[in-house]
This record gives sequence, structure tokens and C-alpha cells, in this order.
Amino acid sequence: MIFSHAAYHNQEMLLVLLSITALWLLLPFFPAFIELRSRRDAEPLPIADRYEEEMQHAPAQFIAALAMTAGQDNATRPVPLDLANLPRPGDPSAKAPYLLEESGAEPLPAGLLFTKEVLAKTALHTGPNSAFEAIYGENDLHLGEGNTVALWLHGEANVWISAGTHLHGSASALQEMVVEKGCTFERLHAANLLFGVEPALKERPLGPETLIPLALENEAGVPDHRLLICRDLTIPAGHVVEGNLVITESLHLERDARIIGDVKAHRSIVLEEGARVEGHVFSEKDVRLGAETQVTGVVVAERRLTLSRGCRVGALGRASTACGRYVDVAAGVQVHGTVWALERGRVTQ
Amino acid sequence: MLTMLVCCAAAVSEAPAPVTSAVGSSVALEPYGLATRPWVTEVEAPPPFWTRFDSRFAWPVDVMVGVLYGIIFMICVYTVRHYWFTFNRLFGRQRNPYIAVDETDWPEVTVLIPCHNEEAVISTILDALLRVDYPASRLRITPVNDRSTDATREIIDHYAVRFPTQILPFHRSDGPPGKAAALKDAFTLVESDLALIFDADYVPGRDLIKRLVAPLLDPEVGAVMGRVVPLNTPRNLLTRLLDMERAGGYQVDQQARMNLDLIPQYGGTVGGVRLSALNSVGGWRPSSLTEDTDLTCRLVAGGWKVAYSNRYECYEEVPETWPVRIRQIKRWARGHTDAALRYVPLLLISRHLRWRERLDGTLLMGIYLMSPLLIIGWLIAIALFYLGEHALHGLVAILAVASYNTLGNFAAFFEIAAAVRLDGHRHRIRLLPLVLVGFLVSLFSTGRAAVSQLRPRKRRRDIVWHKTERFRENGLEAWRNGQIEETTNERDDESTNRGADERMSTSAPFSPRQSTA
Repeated sequence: MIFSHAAYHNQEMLLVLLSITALWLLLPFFPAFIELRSRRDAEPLPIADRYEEEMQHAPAQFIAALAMTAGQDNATRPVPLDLANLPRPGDPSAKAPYLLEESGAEPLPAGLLFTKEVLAKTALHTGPNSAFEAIYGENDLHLGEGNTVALWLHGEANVWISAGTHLHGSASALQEMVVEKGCTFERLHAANLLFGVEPALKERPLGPETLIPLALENEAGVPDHRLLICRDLTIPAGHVVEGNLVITESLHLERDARIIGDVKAHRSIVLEEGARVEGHVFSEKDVRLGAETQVTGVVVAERRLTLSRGCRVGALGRASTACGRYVDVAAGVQVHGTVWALERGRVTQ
Repeated sequence: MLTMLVCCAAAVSEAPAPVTSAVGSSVALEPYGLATRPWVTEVEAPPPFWTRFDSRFAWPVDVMVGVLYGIIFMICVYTVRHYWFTFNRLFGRQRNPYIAVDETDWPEVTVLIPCHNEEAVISTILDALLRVDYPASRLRITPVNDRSTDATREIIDHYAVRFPTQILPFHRSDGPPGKAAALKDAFTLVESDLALIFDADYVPGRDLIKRLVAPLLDPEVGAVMGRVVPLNTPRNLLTRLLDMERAGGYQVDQQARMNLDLIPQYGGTVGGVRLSALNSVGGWRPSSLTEDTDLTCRLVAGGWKVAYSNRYECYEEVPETWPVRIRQIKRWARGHTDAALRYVPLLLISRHLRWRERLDGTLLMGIYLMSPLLIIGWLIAIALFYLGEHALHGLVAILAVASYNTLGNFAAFFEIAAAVRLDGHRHRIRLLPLVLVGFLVSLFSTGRAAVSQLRPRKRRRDIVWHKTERFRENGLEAWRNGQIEETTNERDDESTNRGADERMSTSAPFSPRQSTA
């Protein structure tokens, strides 16, 4: 019986079944062995290059490339910009950065398109409705209305951004930058960053002796360097709180209230007119800084950051950062350092 | 896999696989027109073996079925968790709240480098730290040399002489052994409130110190953690698998926990702590095998947050041999299990945590306990099959197959695959089936280690410094050659390195701190 045709046939089929199953199971391993042998994608994840892209403000790679091409006669060396024959939309793409050595008294004509970087050795004043890939100015830069900068902009002196300009990527100035109404931006940086043409309102000094200390109960349970508040917190007008605060709900500083310390709220933070925080401000939701408010440290809103007229972030000689996913800045705001909108920033009317 | 085992067992057994029809009768298998064995007719499924003896023996099987169902349920929980994390990374809102902080009045920070026989790598990390973009006057570098017997001390002292205001070594000659004990002693001499810790084989980038300090400006953050990226990826199969595994763990798992406001884990390196937070929860615990996991639990239970971001990246060396890898993962499993036993009750009752944080913390601590449970589940399923108990049917069967197909709590394939794609790689994803090899090695190693930690021990085992073997070649040789070169350069010309000029102080005497413990 064991050697009957039927039994032999069954064993044969069993062998076929096992072979097919084994082949099926081994099938995914074939590409694996090929990759193991060929090592087409074996290099470590590159992580060293982001410093210059994300931390620095000056375009280090561009500057380094310029230094490399200096004195060389090759296709990547900056080409002097011919003011009589400026590139317009529809012109073929350039292969090297544009070099502007003399600009003249008049702004550049309107409606230009620069598909490579512009290196301006002299002061540059662009006309309205022009588009640039990137601009590097060794002197003052003045962008006309409705301009667009696609990658980055950097001025070694002062930068003026006229109304309606769209800045993508990073825009930075070593000294002062003014950004007019209607502009959109991602990342702005300057020692003195002004929004709108209205002068920043003077800070209303309010000495600590005129403020009333407010005692808060620490709900942390153990004494440490912070006060833990597990409810909505309102600091009444004219009161001051000293210490680092962590609030699990929202925080509201009424008029002229003050916090001396760092602050973190799980919900929104609102500073009314004249309020002040001498420290850092963090919120997992929205932060709204009212008129004439001041924050000396960083301001981080995970959702929306609103800077009202006359508010100030940071101080001269003590740069800071204001950032949010969406950033709305009114005219008259002054920031010393960086304003960074992770999704969209705009200067409101 | 379980289904395959059942099918193969049925195929090779002499008796036909019993298939119960809707009306409960049994028929022989007749697969796809193959001739049935003529001696087989309608055969009833054999009764469970215990019924031949005594019905009182039915209860062990019931217990086994219950345990199996419980294991399947736990695996499903972890499966859902890891799929949730992966979908969040792929499609959800990402949280990197501190990534944009590039300007502030940077506070004082101390960088500690625990060292034990690190002559191969210590010079590299010191060079990297001296190059970082951070105000030199606010940065202190403290190599913590714990009784090294090689040239580690010599190398550290050489750097301290060259950069006396920035590198302040801590040489430890006595006291309890171990990284946590060494850090505990070193922390007594740290003057800043912020401290960053790097293992000696790491290579920090220029921006990493600022990136790690930025979250610590938030008064709620007690610790910060960055991502470790293997540098020796191309070495061999093991390093390539570990690179993918690390990617899954950091790129997907850690970042998803940060996105979802759960509990990212402080990993003990490429990270930092706030000293006031550390002291408020009792400081370092030298008896812990994994001081990072231990600290994470105490910090979050105490109302502190741990911040994590994929963008805070640093290179590391992963083990290049399987024995080293097994030792490493066994230590992690023992440490995690120890932390689970100590702190899960604390996490569950902490009033500072929301329910989902408590649940996530519990699942995080219990992750290495799933290894022995996975193995037990397999064994029980096979045993039940041969005992004639059909425990897996209907929905339970579906869940069993689905959960075991993701290989349980590791969710290896899905998380790793997503991580590799998020990193922008293409071809290395083909190595995914080989992750099974690493998984099986880890499964049995961690299973054994986790079980050993659960057993009560009659005497406490001595703690020793558990460090992963270094594989960087000629590190000491390269340093010695560099030393000869720099001596020659210093003799030949004035210092042209502006950074070195800023850091060197010819008036400050060299005075390495000695442990008085």
C-alpha cells in the first residue's frame, strides 16, 4: 500500500507544495540579498549639512561658492549685469549668478525675472513686480512693491521690503530690516526688525515698585524652580508674578501685568496692552501679544502667533526669536532677532 | 506564521487534519482533486486527550486558552499603537515647537562625556564639541573619566591643557562603578542648570548644542532627546539592520510620541537634563541598569516633559558583532523591565499625567516583556493544536494572524519601512525581510533577559560599567599623529585659529577636578 501509485503521487505533490511555499517565502529575500551585495544604499544618513541651511542666516554655501570661483574663468563665475539688456520673463535661464557692480540712481525697471542669484556689490533698488531666485547684497537692499524672492535674501547692511512682496525662504540683514504691510514671509532675521513704516511706539516704563506682587499656590507638590498651575490663570492689571510658570490651561495677562520668569501654557496665552514678560513664552496653542507689550525672551506658539502694533520681542544686543506655525504681524512691531513662520507669515494692515 | 505552522503540521501528519463543518461532523481533506487516501473514511475528530482520563484535567487547557487570548490581545494593543504612530508620522501633524529657536540669550550649559576606556573615540568628540556654534563663554565640556586603564586620561588631559577654560575634566578613581554613578558624582560639580550628555563615540554637529538647549528654555521641559544616526552603517549586515531599526525607533516611534504629546523617552545620550528637574525627582539612581529609562519615568511622573525632535541628530557607532549586540539589547531589556516594575504603578497614579500618557508610559515600559509573551503565545498555540483544542477560530483567528504577522510589539516591518522612506532612502528598504533575522535574535535575547529581571534575586549583583565595544579603528593612533602635527604647527607659526584663540587662556592654570567620593 505504501508503494502504491496513489501514495507516491501524494508524496510528490506534497514536495511540490512545500517547494512552492519555500520559494514563496524566500521571494522577498532575493532583492534583500542583491542590495546586501551591491550596497547601492549603504551610506549613513547625511546630517552634517543642515547647520548652514537652518541655523545660519548668511547664505554660507553661496559665499563659499563665490570664494571658490574668484579669480577663475569658468561658467559659474558671476556675470556682470548689463543694465541695458536686463532679463525679462521668457528669457532663457542664466547659468551663473548676476553681478551688479554699479546700479545708478534709478531703481531697476519693473517686471524683471532673475533665474539665478543676484550679487549686488553696490546698493540695489529693484523695481516693482520683479522676481528673483536669490539676492545677496553687500550694501543696502531695497525691494520694490510686489517683488518675489524664491530662495533667500541677505543684506550685509540694511534691507527694505516694500509692500506686497513675497519672501520665500530666509530673508536677513546684518543691521536693520523694514518689512511693509501686505508682505508675506517665512523667516526674517535682523538685529533690528521693523514691521510697517509707522515708528514703533515707545515702551511705557512701569517700575516694579508700582506693581502689586501676586502670590500663587504651587500645585506641583514638590518645591522646584517652577510654579505649576492646573487651571486658567489671569494675572490682574498692575500685578506682577515672579517665578517660572507652567499652566495646564490658558494664561491671560491683563493690562500692564508682568511676569518675571519663563512661562509655558498648554492653551493660549494673551497679553493685553502694556503687559510684559521678562523671560520666555511658550504655548501649545496660540499666543497673542497685544499693543505695546514686550517679551524679552523667545516667543513660541505651536499654532498661531499674533503680534499687535507696538509690541516688542527681544532687545537691542539681546536677540530673540518669535515663531509660530502662522504668524501675523501688525505694523509698528519691533523684533530684535528672528521671526519665523513655519507655514505662513504676513504683515497685516 | 502560526497559520503556516498549523498547515505544515497538518500536511505531514498521518491523520487527516480535522475540519469541522458547519454541522459539526468531520471530513477528510481533499485538496484540489488529489486522490484521497483510500483507507480514510469519515473520521471523527479525536477527542481532547484529557477526556480519556478525567474531566478535572480540563482546567489547564482553559487556562492556556485564556492566556493565549490575553497575549493576542496585548499584541493587538501594541500593533494598534505602532500603526497609530506610523500613520501619524506619515499623515499627521508634526510637532517641532523648538526647531525655529535660533536666536536667544543662550544660557550656560555643561556637556558631560562619560568615559571608560574610550581612547579610540574620545578625541573625535572633543574636537567636534570645540567646533560647535555656541557662545564659548557659556559652554563647559566635562569628560567624566571613570577609572580608564587605557590612554583616555592622557588624551583628555592633553585637551584640557590646550583649552583650559572650556574643557574641565573629571577623573574618577573610586566610588560605585557604572555610568549613572559616574554622572551622579560629576553632577555635583556642575554649576549650570542645564547639562547635556554625550557618549564618547558620538560626533555632534555644529548646531547640535543650540538645538538641544532650545527646548530646555521651556520651563516645563525636564529633559531633551535627539536622534542617533549610525555612522558605521555600511560595515556589515548587522550594522545595516541596526541602522534601519534605529530609524524606526527614532524617526517614527519617538517623533510620533512627541507629535501626540505622549512620552518620548530620554535616551541617556544626545540629550540633556535640567538639573533642577533632576534634583526634584531624586537625582541619578546608580543602581539602575538603564538610567535614562529610569529618569524618564521619574521626570514624567513628576510633571516634567521630555522633548524630542528628529532634527537634533548626532552620529553614533552601533555594534558590529552579534555578541556585542546581544549584550547591549539584553541590558536594555533588563533595565526596561526593572523600570517597569518600579515605575508603572507610579505612572498610573501620577496626577500630572493624562490617561493617554499613563497608558503610553505603561506600554513603553512593558515593551520588552512582550518578547517572552510572544514566545509563550507561540508555544501555547502549538500545544493547544496538538491537544486537539481549537482555540483559534473566527475573529480570534483573524486577530492572531494579524497581530503575529506584525511580529507583535516590535511592529518591525511597518515602522521601519515608513522610517526608511521618510529618511529618503530607496534601495535599503529591500533589506526589510532581513530584519526578521535581527528580530529573532532580539526576541530570544530580550525574552531571556526580561524573564531574568522578573525573578527575585537572592543577592544584588555588582553593577559594572556596561559599555558597548568601540569599533572605530586607529582612533588612538590618529590622535597621536595629530598631537605630533599640532605640536609642530604651534612651534612654526602663530595661532591662526580664531576659535582656538578665543578659547585658550594662558593665564588660567590647568587644574583637573578629582573625585573626592
